[in-house]
Amino acid sequence: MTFDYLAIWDHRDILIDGTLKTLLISAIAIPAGVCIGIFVCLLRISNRRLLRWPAIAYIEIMRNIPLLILLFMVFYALPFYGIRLSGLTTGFICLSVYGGAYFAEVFRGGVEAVPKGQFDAAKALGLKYGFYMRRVIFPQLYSYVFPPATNIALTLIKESSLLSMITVAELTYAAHDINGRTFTPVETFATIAIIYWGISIVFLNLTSRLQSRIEMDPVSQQIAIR
Amino acid sequence: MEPAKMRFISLTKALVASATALALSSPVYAQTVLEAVTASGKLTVATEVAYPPMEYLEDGVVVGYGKDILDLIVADIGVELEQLQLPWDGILAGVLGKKYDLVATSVAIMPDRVDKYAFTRPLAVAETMLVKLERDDSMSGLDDVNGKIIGVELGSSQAQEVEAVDAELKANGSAGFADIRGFKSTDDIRLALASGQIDIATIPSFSLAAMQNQRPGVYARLTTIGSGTVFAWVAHPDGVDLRDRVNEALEKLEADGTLAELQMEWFGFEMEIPEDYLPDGAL
Amino acid sequence: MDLQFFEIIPKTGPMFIGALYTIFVGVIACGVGIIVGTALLLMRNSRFWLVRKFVGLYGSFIRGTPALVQILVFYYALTPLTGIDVGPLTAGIMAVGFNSGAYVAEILRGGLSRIPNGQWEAAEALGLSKRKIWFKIILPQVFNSTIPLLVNEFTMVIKITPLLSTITLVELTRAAQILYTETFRPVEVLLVAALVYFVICFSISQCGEYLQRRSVKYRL
Repeated sequence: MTFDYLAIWDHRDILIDGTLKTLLISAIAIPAGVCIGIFVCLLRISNRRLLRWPAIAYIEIMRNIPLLILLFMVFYALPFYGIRLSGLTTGFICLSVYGGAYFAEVFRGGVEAVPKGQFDAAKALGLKYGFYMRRVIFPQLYSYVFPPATNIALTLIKESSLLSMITVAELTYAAHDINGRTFTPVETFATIAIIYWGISIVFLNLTSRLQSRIEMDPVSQQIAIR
Repeated sequence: MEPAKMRFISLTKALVASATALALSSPVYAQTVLEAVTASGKLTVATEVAYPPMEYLEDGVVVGYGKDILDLIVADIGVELEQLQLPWDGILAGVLGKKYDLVATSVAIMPDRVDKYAFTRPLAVAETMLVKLERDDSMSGLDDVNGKIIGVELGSSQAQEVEAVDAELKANGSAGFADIRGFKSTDDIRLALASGQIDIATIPSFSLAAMQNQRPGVYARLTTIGSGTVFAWVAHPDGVDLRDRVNEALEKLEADGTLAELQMEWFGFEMEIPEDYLPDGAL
Repeated sequence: MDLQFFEIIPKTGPMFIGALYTIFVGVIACGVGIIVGTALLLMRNSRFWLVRKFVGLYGSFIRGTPALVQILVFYYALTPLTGIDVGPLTAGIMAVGFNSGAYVAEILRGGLSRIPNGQWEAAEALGLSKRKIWFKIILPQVFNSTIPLLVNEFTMVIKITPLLSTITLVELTRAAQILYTETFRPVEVLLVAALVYFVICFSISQCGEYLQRRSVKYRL
C-alpha cells in the first residue's frame, strides 16, 4: 500500500491553477448571488401579485432542482439555440442564479424578523419605501442574515466543484486531470479534499471575525433598532 | 429493547469508525488470477462504454467490436462474462486494486504504462483524429485550428497529444487553440460538437465511421495528429497468465479469420495489428 | 424553439426507472444519515476527549468539503484502504449517508439545545436510566421539533444524488445523460429530468409541512 504523493507534487501547477480558479469562481458568484438574492427578495415581499408570483416560482424552482441539472441545461442545451457560453460563464450564471434563490429566502426571513413596528414608524414618519428599506430595515438585517448567508456562500464554494463536469478547470477538474496522467485516484482526490477543507476553514474563520466586527459596531444600528 | 438499541449504536459507531479508519488489510491472492477466474467460472471485466465502435451503448446494451471479441474469448476460455460499466477515471486504478480481472476497454499502450500493467495483444490501431462539423467551412487543415475551441477526453492519451500540438503551434508563433476543454467522456464531446459548444472534437480514428452512421451528414474529418496509438486491454501486473490466455484466444481468432470479419463489420476495413507493439521494459 | 417531446417520450422508460433509483437511494441514504446523525449526537457527550474531537473533525470535514469530492474519495479510496469491495450503489448510499449524517447531527444538536433542562431533571428524579432518558424522553422530542429541518435535509439528499452519476450509478441524471447523448435532444430530456426532480422535492416538502402540522399536537 504505497501512496505516490510525488506524482501529485510533479503536477502541483495544475492543482494550484485549479485552486485559484475555484476561488475566482466563488469570489464572483457569491456577490452576484447576493445581489440577485436582494433583488428577488424585494420582489418576493412585494404587495403586488405580479411581482411576487414570478419571484416565488423562481425560488421554488431553484430550491427543488439539483444544480447539476441546471448546469447541464445551460451548457449542453443552450448551444442548440445558438447561445454558446463557455463553461466558466455558465458556471458563474448558474451558481449566481441558484445561490440567489437561497439568499432571497434568507433575506426574506430576515425582513420578516424585523419588528413590524419599524415599518409602521417609518411610514408614519413619512419616509419613502426606497429610503426606509435602505436606511432603516436593511441595517437591522445584518446580524440576523449573516450566519445563514455565510452558510449559503460556503455551499456555493463547495458546489463550484460541480463545474468540473462542464469542463471548467477548477480544483476537482484538476484532480481528474492529474489522475488521468498518473492513475492515482486515492492520492489526488484526498489531496483536493484537504484543500477544500482548508478553504472552508479559512472562510469560516474570516466570516466569524467579520460577524463579531459587525456586532461590535452597532453605531449605525443603534439609531435604527431602539 | 435497550440492549438491542445500544448494540445498534455500537454497530453504527463501528461502521463509522471502520469506514474512516486507515485499516490496512490488503486481499491476499493465494491463486493466480487465471486460476481464480477458471475456478470461479466468471471473468469480471470493466468497460468504459463511450468509444464507438469499440464499446458503446445501444438501447442500454453494451455493443461493439470489443464486445464481440470479448464474447468469443470468454467462450474460448470457458467462463461466464460479467461486464461492469465504469467511467474512465479510475478504471486502470481499479484493476490495480483487483476490483476486476481485466479492463476490456480501449487503453492506449503508452511507454509510462507498460511496466505498470500487463497489456494484451492490441485490439485496434488508430490515429488521433480531429473532427469538425460538416457545415463548418472555416477549417480545412491543421493550419486553420488557431483560435478554435477543441474538446478532449480528460485524462486520455489524446488529450496529451492535443496539448503537444498546441505547444507546437504556439512555438511556431501561431495562436494555438483558443481553449482545450476536458470532457468526462467522448459522448459529451460528440454532443458538444453537434450543439456548437466546441469547434473541434478529438476522437480515435475508428470512431468516425460509427459517429457518421449515428448522425449522418453532421461530422467531417479535419485532420489527424500524433503518431498513432495502439489500443489493447489491460490486466493486473500479477495477472500475466490471464493476459497470456487472452492473447492465446486472440491469436486463434486472428488465425481463423474471425478478427478480419469483425473488423470489416465494425470498421469497414481491415486493421493491421503491429507485431512488436510493446516497447522495452514491458510486462 | 423547436421542442420535440414526442421523439423522446417513448424512450423515457429508463429515466423513470432512474427516478425510482433516485428515490430509493435517497430514502436509504437518509436512513443511514439519521442513524449516523443520532450516533454522532450521542457521541458528542462522550467522556472521552478523542471521541468528541472525532465528532468535531467529522462534522468539519463533511461540511467543509464538496459532496462530489466526498463521493469520489469514498468510492476510489475505500477499497485500497480497507479491502472492502463495494459496488457503486453501496458506495454511493454510504457516501451520501455519511454526508447527510453530519448535517443531521447539526440539526439534532439544535433541537437538543431547545429541550428544557427541566426534562432532564425530572427524568432523573424519576429514576430513569440514561438509556431510557435518551430514547424515551429526549430523542422523540428532538426529532419532533426538527421535522421541518429533517425534511429539508431529505430534499438536500435527493439533490445530491445526481452526483452519483459520476460513479456510474444509473439514477435519474445518468439516465438522462444516456438518453440525450443517444437522441441529441438535451433540452427536452433535461426539462423532463428537472420536472421529475421538482415533483419529488416539492412533494417531500409538502409532506413535511403536513407532518409538522400533525406534530403540533405533541408540542410542549
